Amino acid sequence: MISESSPFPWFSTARRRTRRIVVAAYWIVALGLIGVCQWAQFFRPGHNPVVGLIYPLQILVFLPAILGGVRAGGMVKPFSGVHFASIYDRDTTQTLFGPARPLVGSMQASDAILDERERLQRDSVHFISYTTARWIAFVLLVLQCVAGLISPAFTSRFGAAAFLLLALVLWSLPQTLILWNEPDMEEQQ
Amino acid sequence: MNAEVVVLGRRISMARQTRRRALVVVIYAAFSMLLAVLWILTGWRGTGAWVIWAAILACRFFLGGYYAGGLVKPFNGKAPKEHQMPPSLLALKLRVYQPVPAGEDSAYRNDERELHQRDHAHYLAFQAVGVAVCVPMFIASMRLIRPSLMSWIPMPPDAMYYGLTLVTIILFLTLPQAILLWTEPDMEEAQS
Repeated sequence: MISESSPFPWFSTARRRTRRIVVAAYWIVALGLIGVCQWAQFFRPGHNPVVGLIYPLQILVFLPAILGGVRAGGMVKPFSGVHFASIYDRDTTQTLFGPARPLVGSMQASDAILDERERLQRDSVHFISYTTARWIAFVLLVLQCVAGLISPAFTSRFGAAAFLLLALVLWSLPQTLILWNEPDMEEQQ
Repeated sequence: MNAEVVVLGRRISMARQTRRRALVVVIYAAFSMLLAVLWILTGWRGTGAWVIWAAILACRFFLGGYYAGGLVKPFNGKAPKEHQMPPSLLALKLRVYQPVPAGEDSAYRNDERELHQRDHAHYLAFQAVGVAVCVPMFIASMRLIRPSLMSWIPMPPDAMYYGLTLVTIILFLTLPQAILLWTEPDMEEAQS
């Protein structure tokens, strides 16, 4: 389930310990961004383009590209395979003229299709993630109700952060479980 | 998956795929109507919990999955609780009492194929909810960027976020079962 093409060219992600450090750093950064977004909402509500646009984009586009799964190029193989051959047959050599070729997103052909064992593992991890995310959604609903008891304005400010948090969980929890639990790739060999 | 559902004491066959699909459509239409009626009457203030209860009852009587009693076997594979007390008079009058046959593991325990189906349905549901959550994400982001752009929405932001959370929880509670009911072929055909 772990991709052979690491998104980090300067170190290998074959060891589980390395992957756990990357995953922990990912969650710290992502939760920190949500915290900053929420802080800005409380103290400077409304008309906040940096927080409103860049942070969700970073959480939903850039950070999943590190973990993978939802798209090619991350540490986890893409869950639904790759349907565009140009993505994994890409030549990473840059040419002097013409458009620049992105390095992020390049991958090997072995990552394009999941085998039977990997598909079962993917589905099983999604079952666990779904159950976890369901409880998180319940907790967020209760928190919204509590916030509503304090003030409607409080709810409207909390609502954005709640959906950011839920989206973060939905977009990265299965990959986190896979990266956290998958043994060292050397040991497997 | 069970082949029939019991409604007020009457056994209704759900072996055909078209019937199960119709049931799924009816349930989601009922949820939409309930949300709309509660919004018109109360603005979801104090009545949002009714939607959660409706979703739980829909699972309990029709869908199953997270609660024992519906068409889909319990996802956790655990047997329903056996009550020492006899069923209440109200349950008997309404004919909702469903005796569980003792010692029949196949009624609630998933075999290998059903476990794979369950996991795959959750994978599909997870993708769907992940995409669905992007809609409130987008609205929340737009409200942060320029609140005046979202002024056309005819409800206050706190009610909007609350309603979207209710919809998300309905999807969380019902979508995997709905996918299983929608995709499972006719049971007679599967047996032949």
